[in-house]
Amino acid sequence: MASGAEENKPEFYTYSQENQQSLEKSAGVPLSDFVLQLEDYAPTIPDSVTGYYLNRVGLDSSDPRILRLISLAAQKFISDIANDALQHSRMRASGQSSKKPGKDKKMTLQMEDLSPALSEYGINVKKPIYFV
Amino acid sequence: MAAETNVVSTSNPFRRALKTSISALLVEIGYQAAENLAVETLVEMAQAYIWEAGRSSHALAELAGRTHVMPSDVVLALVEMGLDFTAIPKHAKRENKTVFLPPAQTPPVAQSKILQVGDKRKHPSHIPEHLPPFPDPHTHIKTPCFKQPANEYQLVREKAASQKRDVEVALTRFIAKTGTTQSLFKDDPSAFPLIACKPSPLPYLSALLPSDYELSAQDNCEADMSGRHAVLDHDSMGDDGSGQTLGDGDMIDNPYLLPVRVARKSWR
Repeated sequence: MASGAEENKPEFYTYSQENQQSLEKSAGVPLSDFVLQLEDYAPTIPDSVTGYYLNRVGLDSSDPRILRLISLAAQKFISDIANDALQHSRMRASGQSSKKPGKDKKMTLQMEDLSPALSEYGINVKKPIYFV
Repeated sequence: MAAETNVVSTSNPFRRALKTSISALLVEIGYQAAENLAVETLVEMAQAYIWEAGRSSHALAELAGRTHVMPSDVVLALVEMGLDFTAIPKHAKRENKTVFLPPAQTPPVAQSKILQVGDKRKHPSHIPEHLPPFPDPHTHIKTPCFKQPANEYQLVREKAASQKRDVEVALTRFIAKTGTTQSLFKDDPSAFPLIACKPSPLPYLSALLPSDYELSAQDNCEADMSGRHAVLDHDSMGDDGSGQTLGDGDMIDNPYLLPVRVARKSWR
């Protein structure tokens, strides 16, 4: 699964070229303001968890703003993917609901929804053979 | 990277916390349940994302000639990774944000008092006082619990001399007990027994004649018969000392020095 992150690195860079221009328009004063706001902000991914992973790549994370910025980015990344997966499952459910109406099912995140959502981000996920 | 993260996945508390927070994010979005496989995929991706963000922002900071990462490095790294940064403040200020308490630090285990054994040694004068003190004496002072083997020259020589003397005394006593003795004092014959002296007509002869050991060694090399003859010839000279050598030669209990006897019988 982790190898997926390495495979998609070129994909990230293609994205960056699109977004560079949008950043140049909006970055500057709002960004520094936002970074200042991060001083007292608690992201969903705890600081200690992010700090642990950053330490493992050799980044000394004494500044909580850096931790929170990266936490927020990771959160955003995951949220976007999960949102896409949700849309996929809704679309699938709307296609099926004509056949089986009135079935109120719990929303469950499944791999069959997650895989197309991830492939939009350039990540090809295959089910590991021995995953329990 | 992949192998390392997979190994620690089951036991790593940080990974478990990351899984919890990702589950919280999923609940926010509107899911009620999730496959374990899907959540684990997301956890792995979040991990890789944080990893990559940290790595590239670190690299950017080093590129700028700094060792400490600044927020601008992180922003640049995230943008390089394809993040739309304008959406981040909106994401940060969403209404249904859930924050769960970060895992508390485990309280440090109270150190039990160390049993004090003995008095610690003071520093020698050449060691400054601020250096750590010596540990307990029983941990570093060596006390051998076996006797050192005596290997000094003087001791060895003394021991060898005393052994030699003991052997001589024992042998003398043995001969005195088995053979004839003469006593120094007439009233008490058992006080200081002396080995009886055997007078011989030619006392220098035993020194002139070759010793019995050399003879027998030579004879064993040659034939049995000739050895016999030589010893017998020796005996026929009518010397007391050499007569004793024959007796000694018969008493040899080393089988390799014994004369061969079987040969003559089978030969006939």
